[in-house]
Amino acid sequence: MTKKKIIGITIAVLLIAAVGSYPLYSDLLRGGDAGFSVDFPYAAGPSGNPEFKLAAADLPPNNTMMVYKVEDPVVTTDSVREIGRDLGFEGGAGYIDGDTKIAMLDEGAEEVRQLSVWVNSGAVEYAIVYPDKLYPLEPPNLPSEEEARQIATDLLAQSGLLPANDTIGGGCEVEVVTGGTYASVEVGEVPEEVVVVEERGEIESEVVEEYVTHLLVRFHRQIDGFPVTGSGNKFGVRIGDEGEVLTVLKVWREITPYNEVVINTPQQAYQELISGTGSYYAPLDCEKVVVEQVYLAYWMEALDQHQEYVVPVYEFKGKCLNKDGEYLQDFVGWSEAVT
Amino acid sequence: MSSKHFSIHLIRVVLLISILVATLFLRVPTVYAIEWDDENRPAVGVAGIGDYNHDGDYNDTGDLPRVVVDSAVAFYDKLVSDSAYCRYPASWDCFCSEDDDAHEKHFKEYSYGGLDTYWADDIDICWWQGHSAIPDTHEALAFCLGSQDDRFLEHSDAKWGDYDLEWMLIRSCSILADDNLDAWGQAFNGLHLMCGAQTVMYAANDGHRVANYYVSDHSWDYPWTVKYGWFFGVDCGQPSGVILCILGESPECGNDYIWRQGTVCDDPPVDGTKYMWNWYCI
Repeated sequence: MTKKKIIGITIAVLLIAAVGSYPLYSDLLRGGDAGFSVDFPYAAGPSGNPEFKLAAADLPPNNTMMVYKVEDPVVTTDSVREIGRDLGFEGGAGYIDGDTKIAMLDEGAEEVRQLSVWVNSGAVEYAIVYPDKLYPLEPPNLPSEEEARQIATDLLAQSGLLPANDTIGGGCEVEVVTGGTYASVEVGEVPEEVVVVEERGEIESEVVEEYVTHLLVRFHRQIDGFPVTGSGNKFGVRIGDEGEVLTVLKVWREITPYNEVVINTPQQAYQELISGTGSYYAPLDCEKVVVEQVYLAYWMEALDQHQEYVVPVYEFKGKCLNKDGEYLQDFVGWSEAVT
Repeated sequence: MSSKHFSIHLIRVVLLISILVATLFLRVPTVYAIEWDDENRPAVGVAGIGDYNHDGDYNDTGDLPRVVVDSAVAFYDKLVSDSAYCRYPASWDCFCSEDDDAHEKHFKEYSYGGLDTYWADDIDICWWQGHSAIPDTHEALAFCLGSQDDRFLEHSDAKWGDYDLEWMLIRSCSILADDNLDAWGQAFNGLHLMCGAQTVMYAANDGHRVANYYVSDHSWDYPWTVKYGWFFGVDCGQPSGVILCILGESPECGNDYIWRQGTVCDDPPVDGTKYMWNWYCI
């Protein structure tokens, strides 16, 4: 074999290898071009223009992250009836709300329950819609946090809604928080005549009576050890008087690994956040934001949206401070990890 | 009949018709709620404001994405198409305002110089979606700056329910935060419920979701109350940490369904006590 032939064959092999591995490298290097962008939420209030301080101790060291493909949910009347059976529903199921959901109804004289499954995401919602048990007119007898956690887990297991731990993203952290409150408030009489703003603004509201009406057991999904965020990060059970389960909402898209992609550094992501490319809200009197945590999370779209990929984002958490350096409220912001 | 008598008779007829027409078109506002045929002739009005920069000098808040307008329109469309809202003659009262078509005076109390008796207080349920801001002491609804009115509807401009409005849904930030309760609580004057949030809210197409909860469009679908529909429908599009809030004139108002979908409490007497339901989003 001549030297020319050897060089020619070597070049050909290298070219074939380069072409063959193009999809892998192209996705790895240019993840954003593959349609992995995220529609971050936009606050409906004027945001302040605060000074930012990065005070997070540990920044994520990751150079690459896995992008997941969402499996198309199979939502049929039969699949909904199957879930319904486990929750004590009988009868048929059918499309409602412009064919965006399939629902079942359990309508009794004393109580009405509804089960709905979103066609686009497979999200499941169960609720006692009548009577109003989420907001009883007398303080309810609520279970302890530990009891509430157990009640929620048992109900999910019994109805087949508890995710298996060995599936991708099966991990969950559970917390129990206040789900709702009810109060009567004194705001002062409505004046009969026209009065100026300052006069009316002087009247202070006074909460006369307030109590917790139900508990919310939140299940925080994790994917490969990273938390899930976004408006589609919804998995919760609301528990009322005597430990009764009043509602369940589970948005849990099934996913499979798609591709490993190169991600921005935390410093790049932080610069995007403070330059306005990302998304955050700060009240107008917020003079300074202290970012205390920076971590990677997976973005989940709202339950009525079709989602093709689950992609990583940077989430920033911290505090909003006023001009005197006093705490105003918690801060949260996001910027894209894959660009 | 002589021609003179005929002329007098004709003038009387014309005068009578003129008075009747004037009565129809120029309804005089009254202090207390009028008895409308709401169950059979319900009306809805919406305003969605995303583009705040038509006039070029209003950049305080920036624009909101188009989805806030789509959301308001979707709320309107659902009630009209699937719950028979805005059928004649209620169709005269209904409105669906986008961006700079929505004016502050449409929501401002008539006796304060506004036109709410022809707009926001002339309907049964109102969906307002856009920016909020604090121009003075409390959170207010922000409008595009027009030549005819100011850009903020403050709590002291509003006095709803004395003409017709039962439910005011404000899809904006912090209107019902603790610091604003006393202020917006005084906008009740026959209103049953004011739906809003204690915290920031994020732009989303909630109008469609909330309206879907309100309206039963199939035998497998059950209508949800105004309160439940607001909480469940808005929660779907908000991240964790958002707290929704509803202020009501009486506890019974918390069980209201929208007209044509269920029971509605009697107009409650207006007093200084309000009732508050908070919802912590998942």
